[in-house]
Amino acid sequence: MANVYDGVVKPIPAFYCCYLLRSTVRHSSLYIGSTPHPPRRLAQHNGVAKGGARKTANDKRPWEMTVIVEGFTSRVAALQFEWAWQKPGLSRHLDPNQDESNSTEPQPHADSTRQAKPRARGPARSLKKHIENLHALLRSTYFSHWPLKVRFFSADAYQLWRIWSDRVNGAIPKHIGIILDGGCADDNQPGTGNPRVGSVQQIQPDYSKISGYLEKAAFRLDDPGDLRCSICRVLVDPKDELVVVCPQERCYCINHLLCLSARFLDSTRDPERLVPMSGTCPECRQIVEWPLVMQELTLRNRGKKELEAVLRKKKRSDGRTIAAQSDIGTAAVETRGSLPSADTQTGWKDGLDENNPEDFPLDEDWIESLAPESDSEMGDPQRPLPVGPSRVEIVIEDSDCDE
Amino acid sequence: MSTGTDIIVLSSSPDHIPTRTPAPPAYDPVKLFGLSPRSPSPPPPLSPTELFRPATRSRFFPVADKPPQTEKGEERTVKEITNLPKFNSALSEEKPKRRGRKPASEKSENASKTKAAPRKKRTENTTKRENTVNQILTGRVAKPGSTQLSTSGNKDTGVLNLETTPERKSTRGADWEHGGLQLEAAMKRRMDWTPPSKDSMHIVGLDEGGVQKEGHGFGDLLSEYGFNSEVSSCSNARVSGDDGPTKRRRIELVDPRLYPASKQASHDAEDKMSTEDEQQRPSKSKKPKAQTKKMNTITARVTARYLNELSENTDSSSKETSAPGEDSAIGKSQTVKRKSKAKPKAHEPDFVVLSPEAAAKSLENQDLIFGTCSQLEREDSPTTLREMQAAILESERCVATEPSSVITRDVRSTTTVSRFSKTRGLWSVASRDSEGSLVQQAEIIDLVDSPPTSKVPVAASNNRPKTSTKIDDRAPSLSQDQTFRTPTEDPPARRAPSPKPRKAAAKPSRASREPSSRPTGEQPTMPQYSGFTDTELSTQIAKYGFKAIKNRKKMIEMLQKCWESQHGKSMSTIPPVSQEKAPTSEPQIPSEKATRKTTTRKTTAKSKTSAPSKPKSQKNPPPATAVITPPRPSFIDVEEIQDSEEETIPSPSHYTFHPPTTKHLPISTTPSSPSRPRAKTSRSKTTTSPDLAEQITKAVRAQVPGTPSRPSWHEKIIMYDPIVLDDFAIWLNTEGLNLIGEDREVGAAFLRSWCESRGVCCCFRQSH
Repeated sequence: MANVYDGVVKPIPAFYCCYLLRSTVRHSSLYIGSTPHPPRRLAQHNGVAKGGARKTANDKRPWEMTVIVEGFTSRVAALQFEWAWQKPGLSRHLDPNQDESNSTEPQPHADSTRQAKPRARGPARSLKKHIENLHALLRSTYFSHWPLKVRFFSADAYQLWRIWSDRVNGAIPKHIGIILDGGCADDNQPGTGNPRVGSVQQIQPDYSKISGYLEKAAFRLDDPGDLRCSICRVLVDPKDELVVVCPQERCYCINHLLCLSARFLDSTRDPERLVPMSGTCPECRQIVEWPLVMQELTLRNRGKKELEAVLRKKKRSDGRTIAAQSDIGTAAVETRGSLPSADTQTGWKDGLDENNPEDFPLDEDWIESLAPESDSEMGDPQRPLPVGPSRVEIVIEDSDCDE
Repeated sequence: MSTGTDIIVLSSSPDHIPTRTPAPPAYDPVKLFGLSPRSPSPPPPLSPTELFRPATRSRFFPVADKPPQTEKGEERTVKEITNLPKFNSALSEEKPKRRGRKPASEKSENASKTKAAPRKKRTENTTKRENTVNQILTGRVAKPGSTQLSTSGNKDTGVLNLETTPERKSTRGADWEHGGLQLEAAMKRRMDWTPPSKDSMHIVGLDEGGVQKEGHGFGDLLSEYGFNSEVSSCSNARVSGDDGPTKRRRIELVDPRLYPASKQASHDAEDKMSTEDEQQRPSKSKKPKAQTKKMNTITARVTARYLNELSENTDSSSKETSAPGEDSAIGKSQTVKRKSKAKPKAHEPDFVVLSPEAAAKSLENQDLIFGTCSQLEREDSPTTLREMQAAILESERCVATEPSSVITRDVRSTTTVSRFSKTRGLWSVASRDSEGSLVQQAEIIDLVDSPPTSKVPVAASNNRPKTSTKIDDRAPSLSQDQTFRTPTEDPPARRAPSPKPRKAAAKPSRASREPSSRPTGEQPTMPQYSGFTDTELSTQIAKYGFKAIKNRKKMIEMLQKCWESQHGKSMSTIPPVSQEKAPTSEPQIPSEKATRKTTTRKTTAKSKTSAPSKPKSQKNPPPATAVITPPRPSFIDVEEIQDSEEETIPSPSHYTFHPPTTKHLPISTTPSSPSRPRAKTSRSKTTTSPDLAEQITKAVRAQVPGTPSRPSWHEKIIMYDPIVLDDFAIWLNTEGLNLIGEDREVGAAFLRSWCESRGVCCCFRQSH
């Protein structure tokens, strides 16, 4: 049964987000979409770049992304969230009863709002409504388990969010980070691992930010010497087993996937929980974000080509700047060397450039076709590359979700 | 032709036109009549025509003119004319044209001529036609006027003659005055006339003289005119016969040409108009001659019997039902049966319609072999077929674990393949009536136990005496019951009560319900999923709450598991046990049931309506889905046939061996089979049980770690892979839950909630 499945599964995307688009001309015009590449997508919406943005191709341009929800671990996940956000009335995750169950103690405010959200609540029309729905979604049983982050680019959206958070019953799970970015006042604590990026254009939607990790892992597992799971102390074979590597720069801890997850889950003391959020590396004792580890793992196992592309790029940028150890991706890691920040900065700039050929594979359908034309010499011949059609398809889908 | 012009002339009297023509209500019938018929002078005769003009225009213009024609001479001429085939045809041909021309302008032009005579003749002709149309459409054949023809037969062209003949005053005018024209009705009719078929018109002309003479007033004519069901039906039939005018053929169950008599008979029964009947008869009797080509359709042949029967039966059946004693019925049936045996197809024309009982009995005595035409034809000797069947039986029997039982049927069905037992149940059920009793007529040939050739006749002979006697009812039914016994069904339900159609005491509703008492020891057998088509499989799977699976094998696997979980594994494996004693255990029931049964039968009409819907009620064995038997006492009433399980596709052998006797009965088969009531879905149980979710979790964790290319489900979940619920469900149901010794199964829907409650990204397989 798995074989059917295997061919389809993609590595965890470097970046996938849902966004709430708003017309800067008319603030009441809103749009919810999802994309693995916000800068390019925004450009599409604004007509700067080609691509499906049918509903936003009007006099309401330019558009801005007020909020993005990032951290989706698969395209499916992002689309589910997007759908739920777009159609709160139809989503099972926004069932009012569920709200009820989530809230520990009923508050008058919450009650009133809940009544205001009958089962068949229509599509939200106002920014406030969208924010409320977002809030509710993030509290829902389903999505609250996901390693998401909310990034606000506009202050008023955040304001609404904050007001609503105070008012509504039930809190956003702690692991869901709220990042104030762009126009919002910066009250992120430094070093929380939720760095500001400044603007949508500076979102780095590729693996480059974890390229160091990728490289390290590849290097570590390439070692023919004895690789032992640091937990069960058994020799591991990266070819036959699912092995994870600690994302910490200097930690060479490797583990069986299940060993590590079991260890992490044990620490949560939640027997029902299946997927850990984070945990402490058994060797370096640093906090490890689980999604990041999984990103590396899946990319290594399923996205060989992609991985190679990233590594190559990494090498190149290494060549340019002498030390490129970008630890940005590792959330919990305080950058030991302060060097990389500058490097990565330049790295994104490259990424931002639409002409940069290396950025190409990371457009919206990268997940469908990984680096179709680049790195052909290193390409894995077995991997089928459905290029053309999938791209079109995705663009359409993306553009269709208008609010 | 000139005739056409003639007619037109009549219609046009300038004076009257303004007042009389246009508006129907304006007419004063009496007044008009008074004037028109008597006065030879142009204006008065014209006036009536004028009056009727609208009618004539449509199709009845003859009607309007009728009054004047009464004179004998005229009639004679007319008849002559009509009798001349050519002329007749000419007229008929002309008519349409005439109509077309008619418009007012012509009238006025013709006014100058104003010859009453032509008009009258014309009118008479037409009136005759009309008459015929109204009363008897059969007219074409009949040429009653032949005697009358003598004098004027010489005239050349009908048209000329018409014009030349002198006018006569109509004596009948008086009639109109008396009766009134009843024009209101006419006008009303006129509003919605439909043009007559050509046929009817010209045919009518021929025989009608007699009718008119009989002295129908014109008013009568008018009033009578209208849709007459009898006539119309006749005319239709005729039309169908000759392809001339319309190519359409009326769809009729029975081709009237084939069985005119029967048809007539049926009509007669309904007859309202005695006078018309008289006329009909002659005409009809002649009709068959006219039909040169005889249409022999199988349907017609077959149904014809019943048509005949209809008339007879209505009487006889009513008598039967009311008849006090069984004896009389049986005796009757016997006698009929004798005839019926000979009946086959040798002399069709005088086929004897058997009483239902007799028919049943005759069937009983008949050996039935089923097969395709080609098959049957190939085997020219019946013995070969039988031998073959016997051989097959034998072979199947060899497989059987059970020692041979006395009852061959039983042996076969149980032994062949245990999986088929369900199917067999269907077959056996099919041979039962609504009360669960056997339909009696089928004789079961004991193919296995006897040397095939010799045995058959014996069996037949054995059965014969029984059935004819009173006692037979129970005895054969019981024996048959045995043979048909399905292990899965409980005896009382299946018991074949003797058909005692007598007292219907119980309430119909109760009667119909009663059979619903469900077999207690029902042991469903697992349907043979491998016999299903893919679509069937997928629907089955859907019923279990799973999404469709592409792989057929998997589907079957899954279904089997589902089924097992539902019914318990033990059942699926247990081969049905034949219960041979069962019939004896309940001697009482039949009689009691019999009484009820009859009630059921009587209320067939009612139950019919309600019955079909019932079987659809899911899950529970539907209460009596009444399969209704035709109201024939000899048949044991059919009772609900219900398959609680999905049926297996019966193996071909079943077809050959079980000629379902019910085939021959017009039993309305309720759609019980498609309904396929779903046995309790296991999901309802399993999903509600609280720990299943934990069990799933356990199962997931119990799975051994996979490889990078084939991660285990746990690993997939950990890696944030979107979980394809369908696959997950399959794995759980086939392997996963077994790992932890969990017998229950999970559906994709349940899995979804499981996943979502744990924040595991999940989705259904996308249809590619």
